[in-house]
Amino acid sequence: MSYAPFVFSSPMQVIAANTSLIPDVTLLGNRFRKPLWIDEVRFAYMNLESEAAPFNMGLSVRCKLSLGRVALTGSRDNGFVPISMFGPSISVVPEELSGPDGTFGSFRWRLPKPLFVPANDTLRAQFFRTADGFPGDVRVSVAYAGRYTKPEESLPNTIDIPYVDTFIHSTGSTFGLSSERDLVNPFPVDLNVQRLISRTFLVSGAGISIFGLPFDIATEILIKDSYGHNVVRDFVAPRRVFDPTRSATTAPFVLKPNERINVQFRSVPATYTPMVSMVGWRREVYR
Amino acid sequence: MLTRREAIVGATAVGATAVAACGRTEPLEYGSEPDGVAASAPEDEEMAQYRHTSPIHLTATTTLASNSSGGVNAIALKNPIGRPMEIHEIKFQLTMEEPSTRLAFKGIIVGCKLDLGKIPITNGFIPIAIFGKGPMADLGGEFSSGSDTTVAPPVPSPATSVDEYSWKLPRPVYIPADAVIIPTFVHGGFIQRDIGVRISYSGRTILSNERPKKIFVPFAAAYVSKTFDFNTADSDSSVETQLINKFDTSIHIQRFGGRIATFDNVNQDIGYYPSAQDLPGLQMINVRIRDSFGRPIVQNFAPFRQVFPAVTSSWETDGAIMDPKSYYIVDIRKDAALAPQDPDEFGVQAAISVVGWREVAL
Repeated sequence: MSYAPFVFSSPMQVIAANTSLIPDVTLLGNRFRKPLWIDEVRFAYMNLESEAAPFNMGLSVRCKLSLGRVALTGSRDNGFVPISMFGPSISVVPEELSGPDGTFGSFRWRLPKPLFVPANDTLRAQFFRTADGFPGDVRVSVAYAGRYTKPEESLPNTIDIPYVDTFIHSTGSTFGLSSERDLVNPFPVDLNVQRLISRTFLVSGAGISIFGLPFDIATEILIKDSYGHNVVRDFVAPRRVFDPTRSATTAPFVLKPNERINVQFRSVPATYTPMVSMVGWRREVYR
Repeated sequence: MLTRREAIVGATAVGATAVAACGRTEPLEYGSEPDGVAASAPEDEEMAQYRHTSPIHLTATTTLASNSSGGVNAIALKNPIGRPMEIHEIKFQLTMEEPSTRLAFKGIIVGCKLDLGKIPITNGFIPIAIFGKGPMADLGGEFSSGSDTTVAPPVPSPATSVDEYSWKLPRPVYIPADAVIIPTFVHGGFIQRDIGVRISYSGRTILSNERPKKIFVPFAAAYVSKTFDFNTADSDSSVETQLINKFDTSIHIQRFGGRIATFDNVNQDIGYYPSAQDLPGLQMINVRIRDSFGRPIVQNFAPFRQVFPAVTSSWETDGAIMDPKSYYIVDIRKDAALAPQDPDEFGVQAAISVVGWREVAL
């Protein structure tokens, strides 16, 4: 038998503002109750309200991922991470397509390590949409792309669990500092960081309009590690640290348990919401 | 006067440049030369100097009238110095004179069939837009003049639309000295104007007499759905002979490609997706795929755009295998449009490809 690929997807489902949505887990798991590998997680959203500006719902639509009791997303905000902060940008345009027929967008997260999903288990997703003020029905979907295990494939003793944690600046403040609960390794094992991602969203029009702002030159950022060592020594524009075409920078380093990254923002315009996420993986023993 | 060996050593420098320029340099499996000189040890220093190359780019053109098919001058695609070569990339350019406001997604209506002698590379005609990945932000390679002011990039001429596509082969394909990949094109109609087609092969000439025992032949198969009415619910399925591996060897799947086009029957416009109005990809067209063993490849009906992400219009599956004599069946559930269009005007169509490679003994 050969290895066969798969895509499991939830349908586009309506999510109201300030509510959460749990896609049907039976659609997102292997109906044959066999183990599998997930390589990629995909998010999509649409809103059929006509908008003149290029809206982006990558901030207000958030998702929490967990494999059983094992979390893939950080503990802040009940584990909900904005869907734009999982993976780097490949292209700005498809993320914020707006026109007379509405707003359509998608994001994909190529996992840093393929995720082994044991038999009878499912990677569970839960969406949350903030009180973003968008009119109309917003529809969201999540999909997993991966491959079935081969019959003769030996199952792993350990599972590499992808992990994302995000620090979201408070809109309206000119200065922001991440806390000891942000961008931290809360696990008793090492966290292998793959990359840091930063995006800035513009929230304006009494909270109604939101769009991605990849070329923020007003905000300045400074990054230090747990011990005060400089990661980014001087305050600079985020685009000096994060490649503006990818909204990300490759950062292969290891965070020991309880170590973290300190992020400071300053000179943040009142309508800007900059964010930084940390993407990596940790190794969990599978029994 | 240079000896043969000196000439070869001199050419090696050119070959090194070519290797860098061409990017991927998967080694051939070297066998014995036809004259019986041992050549089975690639690491052999004596033989290593014979393994050198020179870059080459070949191109040919034709013009297709609406609803017609035709080939190009195949001699133009043959290595002019009579040596074997490797092709790394196949490029297509489609041009059409048109009014500046025309939407013309020509890559979906122009199909291409490729054959290396008696060895088929494609399973019949494949829409050119789904050979390769969409090149990121430009939404799939379409450079239509003034077609969509929201997303269209600058165009070379306001009176001509140009669609460009590239198929970076999963593995370089070895072309013997006396062989050529022969393309045949078809203009699927709908647009009444002629379409100019240019096909180009980029690769490298192999200057030595080494000959691989086996070659890696690219493969592409496609399923193009019927044209659905834009507003009403409908369904369609592929048949066993479309996305099929009809060979006795496994196919290593590089990717599944997927594109959607809309047809404006009044203005003869062809819209491409993803675009600023990706209603078909996210809501209307839902896809389910299973293989001939009954395995669910796309388990439940999924939004088209979740299977083929917007940025690349492609689902990369490096390492997946398509078994000999196996096939995929695609089911499409076309939902009623949440934002209806003029009921007499618009149709929508999906095209899905399987792209990969297989081994063929020479």
